[in-house]
Amino acid sequence: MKQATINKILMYSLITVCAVWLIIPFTMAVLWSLVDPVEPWTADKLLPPVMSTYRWAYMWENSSLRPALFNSYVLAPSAAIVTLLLASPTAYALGRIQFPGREVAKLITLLPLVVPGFVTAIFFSSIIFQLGLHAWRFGAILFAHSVILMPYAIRIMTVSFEQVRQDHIDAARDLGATTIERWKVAYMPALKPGIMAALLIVFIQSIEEFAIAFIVGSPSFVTVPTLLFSTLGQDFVRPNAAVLALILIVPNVIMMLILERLLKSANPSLSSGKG
Amino acid sequence: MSTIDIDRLEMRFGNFTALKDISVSVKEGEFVTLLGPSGCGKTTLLKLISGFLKPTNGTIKIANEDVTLTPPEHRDTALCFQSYALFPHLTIKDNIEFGLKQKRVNGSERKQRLQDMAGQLALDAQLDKLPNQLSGGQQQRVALGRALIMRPGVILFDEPLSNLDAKLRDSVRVEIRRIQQENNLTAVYVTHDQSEALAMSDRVMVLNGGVIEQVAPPETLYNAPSTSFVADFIGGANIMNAEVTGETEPGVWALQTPIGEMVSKSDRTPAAKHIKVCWRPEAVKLVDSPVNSFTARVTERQFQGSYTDLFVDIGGNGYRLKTSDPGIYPGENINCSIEPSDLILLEAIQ
Amino acid sequence: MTAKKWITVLALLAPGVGLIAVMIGTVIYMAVAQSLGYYSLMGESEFSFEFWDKMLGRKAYYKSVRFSIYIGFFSALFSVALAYPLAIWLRKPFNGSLLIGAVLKAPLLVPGLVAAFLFINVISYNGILNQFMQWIGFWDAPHRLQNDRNGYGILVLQTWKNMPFALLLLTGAVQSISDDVLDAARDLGAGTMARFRKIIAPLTISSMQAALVIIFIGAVADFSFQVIAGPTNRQSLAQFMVFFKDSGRWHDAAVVGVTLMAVALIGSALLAFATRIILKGGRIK
Repeated sequence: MKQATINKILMYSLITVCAVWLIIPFTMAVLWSLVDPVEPWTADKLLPPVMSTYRWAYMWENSSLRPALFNSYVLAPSAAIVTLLLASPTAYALGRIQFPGREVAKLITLLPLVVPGFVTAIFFSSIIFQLGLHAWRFGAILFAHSVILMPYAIRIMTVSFEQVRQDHIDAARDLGATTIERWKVAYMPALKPGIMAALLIVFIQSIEEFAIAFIVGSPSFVTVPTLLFSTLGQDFVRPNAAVLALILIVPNVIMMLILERLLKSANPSLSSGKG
Repeated sequence: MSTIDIDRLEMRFGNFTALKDISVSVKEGEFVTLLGPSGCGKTTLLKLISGFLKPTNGTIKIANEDVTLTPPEHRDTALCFQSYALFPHLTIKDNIEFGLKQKRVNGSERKQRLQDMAGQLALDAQLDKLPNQLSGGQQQRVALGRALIMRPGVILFDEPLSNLDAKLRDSVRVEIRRIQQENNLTAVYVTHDQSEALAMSDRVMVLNGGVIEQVAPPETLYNAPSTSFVADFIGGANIMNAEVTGETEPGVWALQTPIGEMVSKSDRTPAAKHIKVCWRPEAVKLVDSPVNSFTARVTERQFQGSYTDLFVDIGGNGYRLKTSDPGIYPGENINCSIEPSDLILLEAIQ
Repeated sequence: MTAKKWITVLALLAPGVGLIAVMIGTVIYMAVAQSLGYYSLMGESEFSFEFWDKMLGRKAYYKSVRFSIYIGFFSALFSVALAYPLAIWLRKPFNGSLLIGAVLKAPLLVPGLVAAFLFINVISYNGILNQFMQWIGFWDAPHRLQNDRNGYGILVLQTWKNMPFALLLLTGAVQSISDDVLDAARDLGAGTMARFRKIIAPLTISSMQAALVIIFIGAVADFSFQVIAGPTNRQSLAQFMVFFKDSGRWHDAAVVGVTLMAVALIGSALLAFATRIILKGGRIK
């Protein structure tokens, strides 16, 4: 059999599998989110008997969805910016200065990825208790997110700094540019995609981060993932959970589409924080 | 030491025809070079012979066996890659032995062949190193050894010298030819470098735009190119349009050319009334002669050491001459002549 | 290096690497210290092996260690085993390969909790999978698939979520092998399996190790998949730890936490080591 034929067969079967894998679960979620409480969706019916956006309105009015959305969407961009600010000096040092121990420093940046999230969460909360800082949960979670998501930002920014070309800097100097102009001319063009990628990745990871938000935030500080988790818990109402699940996934899809565009030319493994 | 017989081979990629109507045979122990500019199809032909591509039409036989559809791992060919393609994670020893292990050659024979090969290529001291610890020339020899140790029926080279510096290139060129002759290997060698082709080959096959222009021994290719492409690609030539006005005596043709009436002595019969003809810059004699003489005005001079390039104007057209006389300068008029046998008849004008 | 340069470098590193080292270092220190009786939030703090002693006497502890290792190991194994052939298949672009790549990597976009919800939705007692199996006549009655005893549900979920990540790492590694090297192996007589075992696998070993280790650490410390879709009679280490913490037993939680870190660390090292042995040591001659 020809390679092209094999590819075709493999491709169609794979697309079928993936359609089943992606389309069915999501269709089910959408359908469930549209089930009207007037009549339940029983196993004998292919589609919900009565469909409405009642659940969406209900969740909006009567659950912690609004504070959760507010918290998540204040937390994530703040974490993204704080992480980038904290990561950039280190990335500059790792990317542009030769010093003994650089490899060790690079390894240390990976620590947050190696220590399991729940261990970090629990003992971070323990430290906060010891220090008596547990009152300001937003600040605590913001700080923790910034630290545990820093490996991604450092990795991406280090590569960006490495890509700044010394001859551009030298040319700018040679032509009499001041320090600020040099940054504008030689550094920023090379750093821009990295900055965007770092912000987006930290944003997405912070939006969906569960362990720290759950351990440090509970019970009073709710984010979308912790709300979804509690909805999936003892008082599990499937249509309500469907609404939350869909809300949680929307920003990811939008952000990832932007990210894909940004990283198209770059190496995919850059964004994984491993090197 | 196998023969290769290629019969009416055609290779199309979508709408693009990479090779058209290629028929050629290679004898046992012969060294044939595929020469041509980039994109002429020479690498495609090599990939067809080695089995990485399947032709659209036509057949390939190796040692009289049809291998047109045989995958490369089951062909009795060994390929030396332009990039060397050494396995970066294996030592030199493991690289060279790789093919023998695939063929399940037993340990003692493997060891024997490895020793022979390492000795022949002066790699004894490098066997435990990794490829990236070797110089370019050494890596080249490993690639050669890895192919040769298989004792393949056919050895194929894909521009093996293009990554070496000029000095090394000459010595490796000599070495490849020596090993090929000593082992009586049938070899097909791809290059775009005409001097490499002339120096190494028993026969050269010039490809252009997917078709064969000429297959001939180097001397014939130089002295009697059959097309203007070959004439120009090999050694450079002054090419003119000519009209055949008659045959003055057997094998001697009268021609009307832009530089006057000329005669050409040739075994070939002109392909048409209007043909192309050529003469080599170095074939010109700076003396008057009863036939084929003309006056040229020197427009430019480039001293090259052992010879001097002259750019001349004859009747408003520019030509090139090569002379051993460094004392001719722009502005001078010189009398020149060409032996009738040095005026070569080429293809018809389309 | 001059002292001035050192100060510059250290100042640059402080907010990034420095902060990470301090915070994660403190977290690890706190976990170890609390497991040994220090930093008690109530009562007195003093050094003791009491909590370790008691924990090592609990059957539930061993069960939980075993269960977490089981989930971690098989999640990593399945994800990588599935990703490898796909990465090799997608090495060279062909018509539709971009689409396939995108579809395969789509689960990367789906947050873990959403994935868990989608999954239990499909496998629930009256869910579409049970309906389908009955409709084709494979099953007579709906099966109880959620919270299955062997944690198969979690393994499916983990693989679904992590395979794309392994695919991402492996695709990059496989694509960086040059065509010439693979062609050379073929030319020298290596068939498909030999090319994989002798060329592709050894050349992509570090990406494979990275994928295995990262997926293993993530899955071994899983909490949410286990709570939502896992067996009710087992507890993962993370779940066990949260259970102790919620009942205010910080020292017990710390013992489990230190265990979890040790399991993650030792397990990763063993996985990486085993990969190397299998690929490089096995049947070389």
